[in-house]
Amino acid sequence: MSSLPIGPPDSTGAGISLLPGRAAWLPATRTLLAADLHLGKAAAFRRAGIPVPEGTAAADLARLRGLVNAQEARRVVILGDLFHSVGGMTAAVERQFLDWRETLADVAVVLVVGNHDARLGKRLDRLGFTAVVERLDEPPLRLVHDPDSGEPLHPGPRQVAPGERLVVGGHLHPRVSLRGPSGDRITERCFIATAGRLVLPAFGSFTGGGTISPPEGARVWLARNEAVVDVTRLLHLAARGQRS
Amino acid sequence: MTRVAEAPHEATVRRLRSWFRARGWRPFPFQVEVWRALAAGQNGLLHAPTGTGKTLAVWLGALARGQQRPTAAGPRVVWITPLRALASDTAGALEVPLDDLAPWLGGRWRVGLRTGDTSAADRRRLRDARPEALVTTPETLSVLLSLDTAADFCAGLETVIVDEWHELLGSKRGVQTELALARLRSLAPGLVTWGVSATLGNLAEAVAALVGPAAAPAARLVSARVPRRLDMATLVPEPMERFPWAGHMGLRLVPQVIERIEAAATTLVFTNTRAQAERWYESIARARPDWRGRIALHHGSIDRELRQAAEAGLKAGRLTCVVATSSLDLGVDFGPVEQVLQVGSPKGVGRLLQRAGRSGHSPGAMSRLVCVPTHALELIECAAALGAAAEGVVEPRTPLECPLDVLAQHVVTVACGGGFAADELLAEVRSTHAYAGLDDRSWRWALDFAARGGPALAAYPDFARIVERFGRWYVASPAIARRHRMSIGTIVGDATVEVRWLRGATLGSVEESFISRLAEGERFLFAGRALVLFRFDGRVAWVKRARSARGLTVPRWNGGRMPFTTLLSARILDLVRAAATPGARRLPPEVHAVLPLLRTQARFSRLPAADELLVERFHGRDGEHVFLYPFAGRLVHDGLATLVAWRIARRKASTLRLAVTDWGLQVAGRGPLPADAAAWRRLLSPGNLLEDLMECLRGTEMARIHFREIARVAGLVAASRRGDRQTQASAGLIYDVLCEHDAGSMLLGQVRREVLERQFEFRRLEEALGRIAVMKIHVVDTPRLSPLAFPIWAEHIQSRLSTQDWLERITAMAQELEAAAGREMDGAS
Repeated sequence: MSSLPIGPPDSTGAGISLLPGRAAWLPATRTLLAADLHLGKAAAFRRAGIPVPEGTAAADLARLRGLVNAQEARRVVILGDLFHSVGGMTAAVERQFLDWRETLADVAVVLVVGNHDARLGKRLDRLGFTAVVERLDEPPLRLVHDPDSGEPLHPGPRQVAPGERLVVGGHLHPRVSLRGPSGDRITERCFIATAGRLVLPAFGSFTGGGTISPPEGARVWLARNEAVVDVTRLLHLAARGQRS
Repeated sequence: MTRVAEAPHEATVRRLRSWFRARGWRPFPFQVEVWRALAAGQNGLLHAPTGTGKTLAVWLGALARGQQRPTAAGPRVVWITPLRALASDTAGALEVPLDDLAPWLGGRWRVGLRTGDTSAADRRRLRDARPEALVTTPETLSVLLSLDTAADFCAGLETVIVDEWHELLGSKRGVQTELALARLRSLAPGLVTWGVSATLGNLAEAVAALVGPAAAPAARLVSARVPRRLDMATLVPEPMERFPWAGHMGLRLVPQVIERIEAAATTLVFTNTRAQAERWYESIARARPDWRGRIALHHGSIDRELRQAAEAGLKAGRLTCVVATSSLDLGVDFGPVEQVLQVGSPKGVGRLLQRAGRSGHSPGAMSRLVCVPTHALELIECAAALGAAAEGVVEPRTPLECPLDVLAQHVVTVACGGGFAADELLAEVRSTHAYAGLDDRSWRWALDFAARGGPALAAYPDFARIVERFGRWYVASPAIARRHRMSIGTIVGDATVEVRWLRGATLGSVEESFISRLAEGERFLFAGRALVLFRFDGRVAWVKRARSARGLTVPRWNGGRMPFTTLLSARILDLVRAAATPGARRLPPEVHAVLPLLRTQARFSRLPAADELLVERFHGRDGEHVFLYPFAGRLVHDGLATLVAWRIARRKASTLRLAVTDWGLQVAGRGPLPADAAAWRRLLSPGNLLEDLMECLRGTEMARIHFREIARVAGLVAASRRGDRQTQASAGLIYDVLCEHDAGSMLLGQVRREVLERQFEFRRLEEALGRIAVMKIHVVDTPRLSPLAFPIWAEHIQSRLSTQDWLERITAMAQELEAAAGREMDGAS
């Protein structure tokens, strides 16, 4: 019987651990990575007259703080789209974020700017970031928001030249769907690694994302709060089962 | 000279009779009856089969009423039609008598047309021209009521007519229409309401929903007793032994069907699902390549232009055969259609009659319908439906009660359309059949939801769709009014993807879930063509023509598979029982043909009867299967299967697989399932039904999927708009957020109630359990799948219910996948 590889310490073989709760961990620099929180998205909805309940931003920030504390992280790098929109950046959301920042005063917080954050412009300056950057090069890693900057998600496995960097990003909000022979189906957010590239799931709870079929050769981990589960082989088996 | 006292409105009737005479016709008595009633200002409902002159009855009646007051401002008559596509044909039909009757009416009446398709320029023109009659849809009528000109719009209104009322009744569109009618009555006192409907089993209720319970006792119910000749039969396969026990397509009968088509000038082939329509069209086209250009395919997912081309060809008599789904159930009369073939069980008597009525429209012609079963047991269903139709027994259509999402939408609509005082609107809303029983708490909730998004959002002063000023409620801002108008309506389609040729022309649309499962280069059948998926970019599926037409996938569209009706199920059981009693009565030929199969059933197991519940147990390679036969329709069975599975799994964490048909249901699992009658009686107990079902919904996707519709109607999710990506979210996501952060939301409560009713026909389910509670339960171990079990087993697994937690589930899935892969390896070596 198979035993599922659940949450190995170095899941990717590149010095990155994938953590339960949709975040990643760089032990060498004690850095916590999270992508796509989309804080203020619910607020943007309410502003537009769509009654979405509040509480998602506060809950997501609390969860992030929990991870920082549990890992005893020295640094948090947000891989873009921390904030959803200008309209959603209400006083309440801003205050929640500043409160959060204050409780983590001894932790460096770096924002890799995402397409959504970019619209906030100068307002980002007063939110207490240690740094606000386009990308972060820390060989062998390159931390970005959009892992393929405009390329489609299905280019297939690429040849990685020796010494090429592993690009780590978010932006795509990936989810996969797994179907078992007796009809059970599980759809979940996931981490996806292809040659030279690792994509994190969206951290925020109020974020969408389409189901994708991972390209050939990709490794895929389901990202749940209770566990990270490597389903690369299961996806392969399930796909084979459907073809036959 | 003495004057004989005339019957009331005799002059009117004389004028209309003479118009008929001038055209060489004579009015039917029911038409005269409707004219008199309308001229006298009475409300009413006219029911009649299609193609019997219903339109002229109510339209000339409305004119007779208009003729009494020659100088009112338009619109004076609003004509509501359920089908947008039908609106322009209807407007054309209304034009016919207007030239001749102009002197009598004191001027030439004009007919305007406003639907969701009407351009902004035409809308402006309509507003200025104010035609005397306006043809529109329920949705567009609500939009008109949401404009600040609503009161002015109703100033001259005298009569409102709802066409095809039976189509709206029983749906949220019907409720939306009820609310709009109540609004019109408030804005135009003295308004007269008439409906036109097919025959229903609950006509009195249909009248109450149309005119409101208060006016119902005085309203007229006019029946068009027009002799219409019907010739209906079933195609009984020969030899019967080779006819399959299960299956949905029924393609084995293609040769016989082609013979039938050859025998008539024009044939309409109705199927129950779009997938069936695609398959049948393809099979007919393949069998008769010489019919190219003379056969067409028509269903709701095909591009409108292609559909219109098929309709035009049908009207003009250019086509030999059109394969269609319910997309052609309604609509203008297609004169040339000589016969209708119904593929698959008609599932209901009303539907059978509706479809039969699409043929034989030329004067004196006969409506001809032939049922084409897709598997053996459907022969019995066909016999039951034909038997009921011959006796004139038809199903009721039960109107909905108190859907809160429609109410929440209406509250904002009225706020946009000039505002309201809360108590006045409440009284107006309660004057409808749908909300007569609306309690204060629900009303406050709807108001609160529109004003503040419900209690959970109370702390958000910046969220408000309506605001109170000096005791009246108004829409909060012009932007919110605009957004609201765009999302008015209660029809919510599934997420669909456009299918386009690489060259650019559009073929239609398919469900996103279907396309996203296809790999690039895979072939499928759509719009009657063999296609290859070239690329799917998230919005458009780009396709090319496929070289070979073999082994194609057919899209599976959601919905469309309606359960058979209670009326039908009772008659089916009667027929089965009659078949079991030797010499009891003469069996219809369809039942005679399946006698061998019923005998096999009796040998393997036993025949179901009305006063007992048959439970069959079968041990297969993949575990234990239990089949139950409550004969309550697939939706009820879905509910029963879910309930039973949940009650089993509650005791012992497990994942059970479920499948249903109209006849029965299957529960299957790896471990042993309850064996004796006493255990099944406990599992089927009506006690705690609601609580248990609510509890199982929590664990399934069903509520999440259904939430989409409710969220859209209530205004939680906006109809998608370009350039507003920041507030786009899937309803599923909002559902998750609501469950996590606002579990008490009344919308979630409505979702659960509605899922119960819509998904499982809760009321019918409750009745079924009540019946089962006093039935004998027979548990039979069968050595192999019985003839009744086979079609259910062949449904494959439709859903599953799990009480295992996430990690257990994925571990179980991993084991299954590995095991399946291992078998494959063994097979290969």
